[in-house]
Amino acid sequence: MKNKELRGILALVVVTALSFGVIAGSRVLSTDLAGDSAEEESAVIEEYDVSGADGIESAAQTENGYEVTARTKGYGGDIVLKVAYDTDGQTIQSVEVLEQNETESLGAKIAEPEFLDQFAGVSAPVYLPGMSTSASDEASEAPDTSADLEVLKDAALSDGTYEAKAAAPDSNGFTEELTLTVEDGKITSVNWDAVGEDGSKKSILSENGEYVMTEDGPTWKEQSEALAQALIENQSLDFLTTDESGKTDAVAGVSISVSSFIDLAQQCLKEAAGITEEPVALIDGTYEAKASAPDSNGFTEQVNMTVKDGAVTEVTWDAVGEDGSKKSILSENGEYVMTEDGPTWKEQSEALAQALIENQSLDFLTTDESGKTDAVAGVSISVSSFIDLAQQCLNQAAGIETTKEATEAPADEEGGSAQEGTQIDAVSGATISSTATVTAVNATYDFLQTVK
Amino acid sequence: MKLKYPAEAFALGIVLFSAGMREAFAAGILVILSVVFAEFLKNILEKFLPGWSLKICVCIAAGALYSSAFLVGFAALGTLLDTGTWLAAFLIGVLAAYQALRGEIDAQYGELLLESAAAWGIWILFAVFREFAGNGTVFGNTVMTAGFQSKAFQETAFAFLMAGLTLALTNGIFKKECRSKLSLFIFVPAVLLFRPFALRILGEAAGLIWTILVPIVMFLSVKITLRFSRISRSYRGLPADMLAAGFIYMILSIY
Repeated sequence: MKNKELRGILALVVVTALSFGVIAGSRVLSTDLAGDSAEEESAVIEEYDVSGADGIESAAQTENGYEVTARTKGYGGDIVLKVAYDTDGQTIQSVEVLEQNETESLGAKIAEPEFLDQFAGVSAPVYLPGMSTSASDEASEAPDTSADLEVLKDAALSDGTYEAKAAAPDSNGFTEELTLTVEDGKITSVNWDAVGEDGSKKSILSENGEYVMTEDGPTWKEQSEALAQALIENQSLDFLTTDESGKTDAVAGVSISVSSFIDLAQQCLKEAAGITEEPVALIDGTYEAKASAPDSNGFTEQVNMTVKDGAVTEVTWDAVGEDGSKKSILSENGEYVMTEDGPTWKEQSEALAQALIENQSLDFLTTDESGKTDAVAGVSISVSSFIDLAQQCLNQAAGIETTKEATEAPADEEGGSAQEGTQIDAVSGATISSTATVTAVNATYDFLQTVK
Repeated sequence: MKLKYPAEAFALGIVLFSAGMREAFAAGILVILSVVFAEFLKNILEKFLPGWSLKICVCIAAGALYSSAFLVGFAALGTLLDTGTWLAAFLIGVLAAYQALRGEIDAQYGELLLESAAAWGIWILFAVFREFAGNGTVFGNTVMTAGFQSKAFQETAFAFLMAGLTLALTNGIFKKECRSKLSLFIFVPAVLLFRPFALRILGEAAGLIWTILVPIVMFLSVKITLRFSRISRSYRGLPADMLAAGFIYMILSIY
């Protein structure tokens, strides 16, 4: 009996020891297996000050290069990324998604290796097909203001109150507006604000703490007032020089993008100066513009435009596949389907064409950062390529020479690009999430260039 | 006739690992592995060891095997298990060992594997349904997105309902019933890992205790006092308890 009891205790000790060994071994093995894809923590050499940098949460120089963490607005909420760079500050080592609330099996795929592995070893900035490499959407839409400012130089301003409003809300749903008052030929009052879809004003939200950009810096309202005051003091926009991301060093304490402020202020000043833009005369004829390379699905887009009696009378937008098939026909046959319920690609293409004929220009067609527009009902596809090709046709009709850069598609056949940086493929069906990710990566790159 | 397959282990496994086909596949095969290993170890050691030592040795060994194999398996898929889930996996191994220690298997591996395979197959089918209805995916691959799909199918309440239905169907196929008294050992770990509601007004600690105790008390109340009339044989016992747990979760999740 005693023997059996002793055997029992011994067996228990042995089994327990073996079990602990198995558990410990499995823990080590599992850490190795799961940790292969995890980044190694590099020792931090220097932490950078990120206050005042929109969307940048932290940045540091490490043994292996640099690590920058950025936050951006995705489809379902904020996306937080950590981007690791080589010592050159340009080559991306890795991109890791720390936080995201995107749609499962769609936008959430930005966290999967299939999407993130594209960034490893490539040079920043990066872009998606049809996207500019700027980190800010204002920068990509920022107009070349130098010619406009030249027109306003020494122009006499008529007394009155002038108002300008953005054609479409920004990605946060705010529509920017500017009111400018001229008295005795001088700018005496400027007010720049933004109104949300629910009527709330950004100036009030920023004072209430409901619209916060950085914890320590001036509020949006304070920065807006500083810009307005600077315009009144300078009596022109000449002083307001901006960098490629639409930001300025000309006014102390202002770190927000000022491109839309400049745009709206220019509109008011032009109105005050009595400067109206002459519509460009179009020469009768048929014009065609074609993308220089196929898109990622193998379709080469083209726009055909007919001008009669100086007006655009016919516009068609189509895309031809490598086998000669047309996207318009494929969409009607059900072979090119985007969504089950929405209009077909052909219907959307025709709606855009009709809108262009009705407006006789592309000014009405404002787009967001992903190239989509709210200006035409029922159109949910990206319209960037349509705008490019239609503008080429209009330029041809107006006798304006088009530059080579404007005619090239984002990617050429060798895989290089007319744009600076590296092209990345978006997650299929998740344009907003992919664009947000790429925008955040570019924001980290831009920040790194300022601190290096 | 006595039940051969480890119903309790399957029930807890289904509650924890049935949100997707991939995890159902892995968890199910490991349950079968654990129970076969436990039965094998028991048959080897029972001649040499006293009863108390045999029970503890088999439970520890089976628990360690299941949890370790699961940990390594998930790591190979790129996911690290958290401690709570790892402990629950250990408990699944222990429950598999308990089935072996009951003496009902009697070294009849053929019948054991047949019943276990049936339970595993039904588990996978339900997991496929749950994954598709929740995400529109099967085995992680998007199949279709449709209006009827809802994240609600991924909730713990549905996991309990699935567990009850799986056991009931398996019992129905083999014309057996499962009069297990261990349903609390399945419900309590699930409540600890997936609390059906949160309560903040009492403070963090008190709220935590309350949100754990309420579902357990409700479950015990249903188990002790509620009698289901004219319930078919395959639903009696553990399957009915699992279905009741699912409905309790559904009610409490409203808060």
